[in-house]
Amino acid sequence: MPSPAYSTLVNLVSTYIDSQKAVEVITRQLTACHLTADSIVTADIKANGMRFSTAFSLYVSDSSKRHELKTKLAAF
Amino acid sequence: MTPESPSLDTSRSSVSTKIFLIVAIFSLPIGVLAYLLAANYTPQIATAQLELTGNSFQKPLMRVLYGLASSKNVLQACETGNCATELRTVGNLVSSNLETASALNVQVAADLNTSSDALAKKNHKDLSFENLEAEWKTLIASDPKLATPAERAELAAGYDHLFTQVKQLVSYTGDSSSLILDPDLDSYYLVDVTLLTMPEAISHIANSAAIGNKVVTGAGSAVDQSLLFTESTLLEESLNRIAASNSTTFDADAANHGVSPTLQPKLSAALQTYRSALTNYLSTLKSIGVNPGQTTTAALASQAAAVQKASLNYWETGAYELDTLLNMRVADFQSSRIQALGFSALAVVLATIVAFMIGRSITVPLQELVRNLAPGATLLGVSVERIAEASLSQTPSQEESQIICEELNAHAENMRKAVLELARHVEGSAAASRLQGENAGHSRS
Repeated sequence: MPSPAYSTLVNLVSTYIDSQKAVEVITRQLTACHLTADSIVTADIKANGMRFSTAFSLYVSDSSKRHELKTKLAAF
Repeated sequence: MTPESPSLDTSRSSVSTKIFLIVAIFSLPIGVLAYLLAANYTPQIATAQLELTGNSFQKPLMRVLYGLASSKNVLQACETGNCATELRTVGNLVSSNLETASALNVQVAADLNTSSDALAKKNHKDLSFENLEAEWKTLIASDPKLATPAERAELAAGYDHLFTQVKQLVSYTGDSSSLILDPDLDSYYLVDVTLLTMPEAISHIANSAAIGNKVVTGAGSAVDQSLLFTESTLLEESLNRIAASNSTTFDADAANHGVSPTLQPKLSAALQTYRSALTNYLSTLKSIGVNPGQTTTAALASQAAAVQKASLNYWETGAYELDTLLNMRVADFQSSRIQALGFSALAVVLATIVAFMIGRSITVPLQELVRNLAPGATLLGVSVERIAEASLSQTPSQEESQIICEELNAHAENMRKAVLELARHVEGSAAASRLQGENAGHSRS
């Protein structure tokens, strides 16, 4: 069962990217960080903040939105 | 300046809309065929209904003919001139049926062209109901003069004239109601009996009774003897023709809009009664030819009246059975028309459902491809931007470059899958396998 941090992350990213694509990118980044949807906690997101924000922002064309996403991820 | 060629621009329409348009185009011929099929039944139903109208109009007219022939019979047997009461009785039958026919004519004149104007246009003004009723009223206006044979002969001539007029009207309505052109074998031969043979037979019975009466009273000449023989022969011929027509009607019944359960039993029974009465009557006529004194005028008139009654009974049975056959035909055509329209509608509905399902099987994978590939444009654009920024930076981030490469690689993989999926949909599994092989080769190199 996905952890609450994972669900929150998916919800946040889905407001900027198509939800299916958001799940796909998150899954790929979790794999790269050796994390899983069930085990991930807020600390993991903070620790890999730069990687996550770089990966997600590649799919946001509007630079202001991109910046907004980065800010929200940083405040996670 | 070249004129623009007319074209149906569907380039901006969605795949679903295009599939729907294809279905609509293929449904169009089904709709046109259904319309033509239904339109083909409509005139056939109209013709049968017109025949029904004509047949219902014939009924009172035939009773008028019967009444006039019976009046003539009464007159022939009226040796003493004391037959006014009997004449009035049969005259009432003529009056009431002439009234019925006239009232019916108000309703059907437009269909059967039997209004005074329509008849006048066809040079049959003398067959109008105004004329027939006026002629009949003249015949029954005052107490008939029956004292002398000459007076009775004059009245008989009046009956004869009206009989001829009504018989012509029967024939005319047979034409105008299309009864004479009946398209089915069973009803055609029944029409042959009710419209042509029986009115003639009733006429021959009346004529033979009149001539027979002269011969029996000793007033007949050699010519009358010859005429009596001719009338008898014509009656025998008509009986043979009726029997043959009935036989054909029964044989053809099953092949034309189903079997009428009452046709054979009722018509056979009525024909048997008529045949029996006519055979006795013809036998009497033959015996008169050999020995005029063998019978009396009253006995001859009685036999003639019995045959007339049997002929009317047979005619009415035939006319009612003709109604049944025509109603069965109308019902059959109506049912066939509904079936044709129903099957066509079903075909269109089924085609639409199948087209909808095929459309879904095409559009759903395409929507999936769009969802997978759409973010690729943003990814490429932003990646190029980031790579450009990184190349200007003094210290480019290795991790960021790695993430961009990972995402681009993932997208490239998605694209390969999407292209294979598209190839499978567009060209089939073989083309997809070939492409997969090429992709695998390219990945290795």
